[in-house]
Amino acid sequence: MAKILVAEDERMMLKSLSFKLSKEGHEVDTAENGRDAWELIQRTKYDLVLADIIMPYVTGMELLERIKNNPATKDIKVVMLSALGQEDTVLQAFEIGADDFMTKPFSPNELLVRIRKLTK
Amino acid sequence: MSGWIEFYFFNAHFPTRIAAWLGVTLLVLSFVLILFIFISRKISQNKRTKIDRLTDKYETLLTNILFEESYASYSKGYEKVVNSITNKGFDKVKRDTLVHVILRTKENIMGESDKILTTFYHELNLRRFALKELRRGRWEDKAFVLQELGKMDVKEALPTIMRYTNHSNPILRAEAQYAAIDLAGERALGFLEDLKYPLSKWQQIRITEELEKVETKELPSFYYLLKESNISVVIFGLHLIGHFNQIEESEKLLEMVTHPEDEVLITLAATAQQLEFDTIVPEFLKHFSGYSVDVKVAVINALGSIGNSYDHLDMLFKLLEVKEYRVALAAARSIYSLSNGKLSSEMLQRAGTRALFLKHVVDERKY
Repeated sequence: MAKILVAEDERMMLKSLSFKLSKEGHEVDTAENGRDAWELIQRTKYDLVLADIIMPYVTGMELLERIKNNPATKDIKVVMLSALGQEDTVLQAFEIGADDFMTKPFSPNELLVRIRKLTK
Repeated sequence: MSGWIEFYFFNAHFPTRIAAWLGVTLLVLSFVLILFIFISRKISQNKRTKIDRLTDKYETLLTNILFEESYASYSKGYEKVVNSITNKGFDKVKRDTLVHVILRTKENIMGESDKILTTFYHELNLRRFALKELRRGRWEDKAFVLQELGKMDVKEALPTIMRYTNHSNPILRAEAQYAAIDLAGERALGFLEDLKYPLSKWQQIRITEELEKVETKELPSFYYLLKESNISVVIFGLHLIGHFNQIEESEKLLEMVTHPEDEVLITLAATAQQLEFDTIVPEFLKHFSGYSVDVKVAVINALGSIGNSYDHLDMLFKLLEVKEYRVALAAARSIYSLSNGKLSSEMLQRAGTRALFLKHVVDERKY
């Protein structure tokens, strides 16, 4: 099972996602903003990062850029979550290197299937 | 000490006594004020702590209900949670906190989890409190409750909600309109026909967003809104016609070119562009000289996309000469657009003394 970091500033989402992923057998860490998430990523080896786009201090997009531009972290799979489902936001995320993108509201079950596929 | 007090407060000259009494009064008042601030801060702090504690508790509870098998709907665990909440009774703080958590969660998830949340809300009979609040609460509570009833699909509240869609309070009115569309989709749009107040741009965007969730084929033709006396409703109608590409009755747009309101004419030009309805161009041009500068600019912009170089370039070149800068600027851009983004030497020659202006306006390097 994978080691996953959930970066999300909405507490309820953070709780429920980490609960759901832990139940699936993944090892889950959480961060409530992009800055804390980046610190954790530098210290720990994650298989996948689940990041919201709108977060305080460091946005999800900046976090994605840092992950993908750093040779030590560029292989981490990143799934972006966002209420901003506009085409340009999605395209920008994929261009930077996101491995998947889910628009809120999303189905937690669908998210789980996508994560399962990415962490195979 | 007592002699000193006696002197200043009772035996000294009158002004001194007044000053002494005034000083003491101010001191007491300041103390009372500080005490009041301290107590009210303590009360709001306690309330905040209680809300934080409850939020945490309800977040965990909902997470369990959503994802833990032993709490699945109608399991023993689930029944226990529902009973413990309903039996204990709910004060306003608890109810509001739980509803906030439910609504926030609903914003982020859909599918099975969304259904579980809605069922949970109904099982707890939370709508009963909401309906009561809608009758008696303060306006800000009512605004929240309207949102809640719409998002939680409380269909029985629709008649009451419809009454608020024309309320004099703009926030209540707007929340009621969104809630009505949440509950009844396009069928709730009837409120637009009797609307006494203007629809703000933001309301128009929100309602359009809600309507996007409705199957396009189920949407009514929005041309009926063009006959309304409320100008903002007419403008919204034009926006909807363009947004949902309702081309079928576009002939009706022709009657609108003599509308007395500038904003309607400006929106009309934009809608014609969206629908690529070029039949309207000659009608616009018939009345062009009588339009205000803003409307002229909108019509010229429309010419750039639905006009044609054969019929309209002459007019646009003439408009390049006018003194009104915005009109000339729009004309230059439309000339450029009708020339497929290329300015030939013939075009520049036709622009005459305005050739440099034309070149400068369409020079993309400056953007």
